[in-house]
Formats: sequence, structure tokens, C-alpha cells
Amino acid sequence: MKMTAEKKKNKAGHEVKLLANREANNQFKAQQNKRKSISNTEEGNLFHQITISNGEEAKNLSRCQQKKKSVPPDQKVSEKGVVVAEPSNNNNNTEQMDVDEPMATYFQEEILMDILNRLPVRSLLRFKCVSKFWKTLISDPYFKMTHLNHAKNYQSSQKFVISQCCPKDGIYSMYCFPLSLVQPVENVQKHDFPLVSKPYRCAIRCCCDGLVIVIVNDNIDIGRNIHLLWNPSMGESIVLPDLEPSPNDSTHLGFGYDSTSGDYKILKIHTNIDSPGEILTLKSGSRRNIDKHPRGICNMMEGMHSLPFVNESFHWIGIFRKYSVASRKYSVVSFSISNEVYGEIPLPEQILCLTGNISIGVSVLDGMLCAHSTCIYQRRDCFKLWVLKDYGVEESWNALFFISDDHGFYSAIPNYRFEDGEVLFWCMRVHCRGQSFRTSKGPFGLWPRCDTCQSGISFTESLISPKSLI
Amino acid sequence: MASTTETKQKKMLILKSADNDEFEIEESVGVQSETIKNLVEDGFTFVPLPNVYTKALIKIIDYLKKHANKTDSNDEEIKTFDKDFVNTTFDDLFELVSAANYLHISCLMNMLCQTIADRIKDKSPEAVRKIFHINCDYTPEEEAKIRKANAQAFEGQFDESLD
Repeated sequence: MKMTAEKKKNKAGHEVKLLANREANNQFKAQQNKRKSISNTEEGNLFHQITISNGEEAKNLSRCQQKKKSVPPDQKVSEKGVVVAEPSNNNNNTEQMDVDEPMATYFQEEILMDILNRLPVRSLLRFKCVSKFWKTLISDPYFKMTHLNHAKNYQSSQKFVISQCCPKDGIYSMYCFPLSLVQPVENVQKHDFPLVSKPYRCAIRCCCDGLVIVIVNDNIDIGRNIHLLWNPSMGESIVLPDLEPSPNDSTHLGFGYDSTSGDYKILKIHTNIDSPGEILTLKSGSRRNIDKHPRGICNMMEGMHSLPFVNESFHWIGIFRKYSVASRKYSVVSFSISNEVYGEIPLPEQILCLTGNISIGVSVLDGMLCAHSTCIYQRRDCFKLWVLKDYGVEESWNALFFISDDHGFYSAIPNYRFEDGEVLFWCMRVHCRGQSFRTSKGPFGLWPRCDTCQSGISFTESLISPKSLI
Repeated sequence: MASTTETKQKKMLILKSADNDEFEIEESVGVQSETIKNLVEDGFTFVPLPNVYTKALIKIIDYLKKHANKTDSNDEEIKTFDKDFVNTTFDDLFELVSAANYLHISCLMNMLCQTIADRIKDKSPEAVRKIFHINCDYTPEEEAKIRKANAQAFEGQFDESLD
């Protein structure tokens, strides 16, 4: 409900803004009318007629009311608030001419938005050059939001970004490409490293809404971690405040959007529970410590790169003090982004039964919380993945994926789930002494190969500009 | 509401285009359009469509007829039909998308908007302007500024064709 209200609000604000750009709109419209007049002797009519149809949109009541004044007498307003043309022999075209102009532009905008929503970010940035009106549409915050919601459901908007170290000079580069199981190499785009001229160490940590957090050291001050917030699709980035003063401090970051406050937030959690976690709010720039988990003993982070953000909460694995003998030792900790309340989700039974050298963690695939384990079983490395189909419902843990491999990999962390169910995950490899991405079928990726020092993340491309968030 | 069930013979509707051509179609075909459905529910059997011209209306009736007969077995046939349907000029697509929007046929809207998006996504801004009949209202300096600010999006070659 809240969302709808918010959307409406946005929409209203949006229209006001567009009216201010009437000049640009009128030009667009005039051109359209001109085009119509070639095929239609009743010049410009189509546009004004279409306006009537637009008035039918019951959702836009104010416009409907405004409209009624100019509805010809042979039209009626039905009980649904729909303006319909009564069967009539009159040629009502002439009477429809006097409809308010802004509505004509609204109609065009509605269809144009529907088309633009389906375009990749790269095309949209280029099409800002088409006209002032197009630029206004593409730059509008409401459009950016609808575009992102569209993109989340499009396979072609899912991208993968990796950082890779050049073996010759030790300098890192970024590569971006669309996520598909068939990887045409020409789709790989190399990006200059944002803001840092000679990156020396680099890790891609977490992402949200097409924005990626990258930690980098430049070769001027090797000991200092620089945190970048980067939109790879737009090629825009900002430097975040220092989140980890000491690079040796074992911390994990989560990044999410708080729809209650309309702000992006970054959460930092330490393995050592006595080091307080910290939450950074981007817009206000405020940062403060969060309360300690009341029963927490330790946070387990080995099997994770970042804190998965699902259901407006961050997640990680925690070890708790027992209430009773029956209670579990390990559990998923959740931490809500808006009211900062801790929660607990029991892990799947099978994970809790594992013994030996195991690493467990949580991640997010297809918007669902997942738990995974890697362990050695009969001298083979086993990776198992469970998905929590209904958030918060313990019974809905479902085994999703299982790989057993004697080529030696450990610390596998799932990253993306393809349409056919195949899972892309990151892992450490024993024999190559490096890190790489793979699927159940084997190594993944056709980017310029070197099997060491890879970190990467999948993301949905978006028009959200890092600079607009601070 | 009155227009459902108890039909011995098929209920028919008359659609009248903006150029005053009349088309008789089965009600079950017409109600795939939300706009027509609302009118039918209010008891109308004669539907003037002052925003839809004959040329577009003929194509749209074809589409509605095809999709009204959707079964499990003719999936491929409909896919082929849809592919042919959108294989036309941009001006035709714009005419159709305006009509589909007015008639509120959401599956057709989806298909048309997706087709237009797929066909323009690799084009240059100049080609898009021509396709949408837009005059550039930027000064050369303003345009250069936008290109510079979005340099990454202007790397490489773009499709300059208008089809």
C-alpha cells in the first residue's frame, strides 16, 4: 500500500515537472501531428482524440475531472469513471479538438515511457541526445525506478562485472558482460578503473539496484582501503567514506535500499561480535554503531563475500548462546534495514548435521535467501545449496543444487542463478591456487583469461546515479 | 454484465473506425480489448472508435481473431503470426501502438513496445530522431556536453538505418 501511495506521489510530481517542459513536448507533438496530417485530412485530430482515451484512465482522477469540462454532450461518464463515446451520428471529432493540451503530451509520454522502459542503460544514455524532452524523461527519478523494476525481470539486463589483475604489471581492470551460459567474447567490455589511476588490490563486494561497492587500494597508499560506489552501466562512481580503517580487520559489508526512508544504507559487521557493527546512511552521510545482538557469541563469515539483502534485511550466519539444550547453535541472523531489529531464521537441518571441515554461508539468488555449505565428504569436495522459498518459513528450505568434485574447490559462494536452474558460483581452487567462477559444468567465463585474483558480482543494470545518492 | 452466457447464436459487435468504416466481429473476439469490454458491459453493441483508423483497425481485428482462437496446439502458428504482425515500418508500428493503447490490449501493447525497443536499441541518436520524427532542439554545444557526460555510452559503432 505504501508503495502505491509513493508511486502516485512520484507520478504527480513527475507530471508537474513535465508541464514545465511543455515547450519541448509541444515540439514533439507538433512533429507527430505533422506526420499524421499526411495520412489524415482532419489534421491533428488523432492526437486530440487520443486524449479522450487517455482521460479514461480512472487512476488519474484529477485529469478526468479536468477533462469532463470539455467532454462533448454526446459522451457520458460511466459509473467506473470511464469516459465513453455514445453511439452517435454526429461527427464529434471537431468537438474533441478543445481538449486541454497537457493531456495530449501525457498520452505520448505514456507510450514512450513503455518503450524506453525496455531499453538497456547504454541505449538510454545515448538517447538523452535525441531531444530535450527525451532527456527529461530519461533523467526523471520516477522513470529510473520503473526502468529498474522492468530490468529486474529481463534476462538481458542481468550483467556480470569482474575485476582482474594483469599478470604483467599487476594493475587491475574491470570487465562487464551480459550473463548467459553462452558467452560470446565480443560482448565483454573493458572498463577503466573508476577514480583510481593505478589500482593495486581490488575486491568487488556487494551490489544493489545496479550499484556496486568496490574496495580498492591504489599504489600511492597501499595500506588504505578506498571504497567506491560504482554504477558500471553508467560509468559513474563516487568515493564512500572510509568504512574499514584497517585492512586487516575482518569485516563484511551489506548494501540495501530502505524503502521506509527512501535511502540506501551500508551495513558493516565484524566477525568479532565485540567490535560494534556500523550503519552508514548515504543521503544524510550519517554513520553510527548498531546494537550488539543480545545472544550472539560470534559471527561466521568465511563462506560469504557480503551480507545478502532480502526482504529489507541483511543476513549472515551467527552463533548464539543456547536457551536450552534443544536449541540450535548456528542460525541465520537477520537485521532489518529500517527499524534495525535483529531476527533469527533456523538453518536447514541437513546443514546443521554436517561435521568436519565445513564452511557455511548465506546468499541471495533470484531474490530468495539461500544457505550453502562446502565440506569434504569421502575425499571429495561437496557443495550444497538450499533456498528459502517463503521468507521466514523454516519448512520452506528446499535443496536446490549439489556438486561433488574431486578437482578440489572450497569456500564456494553462489552468485547467480540462470533461467535453466544452473548456478554460477565463486570458489577457491586448490590446484590452481587461485579463485575463479564456475558452474556445475566447470569453469565459467570467456573474459581474457587468467585464473587468479578474480572477484566479481552479478547485477541488474540501472540508471541510478551514485552522485545523486549523496 | 448482461452480455455473458446464454447465447444461441454468437453475439456480434460493430466497430466503427475513425474513417467511418464499420466492421462486424464476434463479441468474444472484441472483449480482449479492455476498452471494448467496458462498453460491452455497459450494453453497447455498436462501438465507435474515433481514435483508430481503418488501416490499423483491420490489422488489430486480425490480431484479436488469431489470439481469441489460442489453444495449446497452435502456439507455433500464433508465434509466426505475431512475428509477421510486427514486421512492418516504424510509422505503422506507432499507429498500431497508439491504437492498442487506446483499446487497452495489454498483450499487444507489450509486443509492440518490445518490438520498437528491440529495433531502436542499437541505433544512433540521429537515426532515432528520424524514426520518431523529432527535430533536435539542442545547440551543438549542448549536445556535445551530453555526449561528453555519457562518453561510455557513445563508444563504438551504431546502427544508422531507419528500418
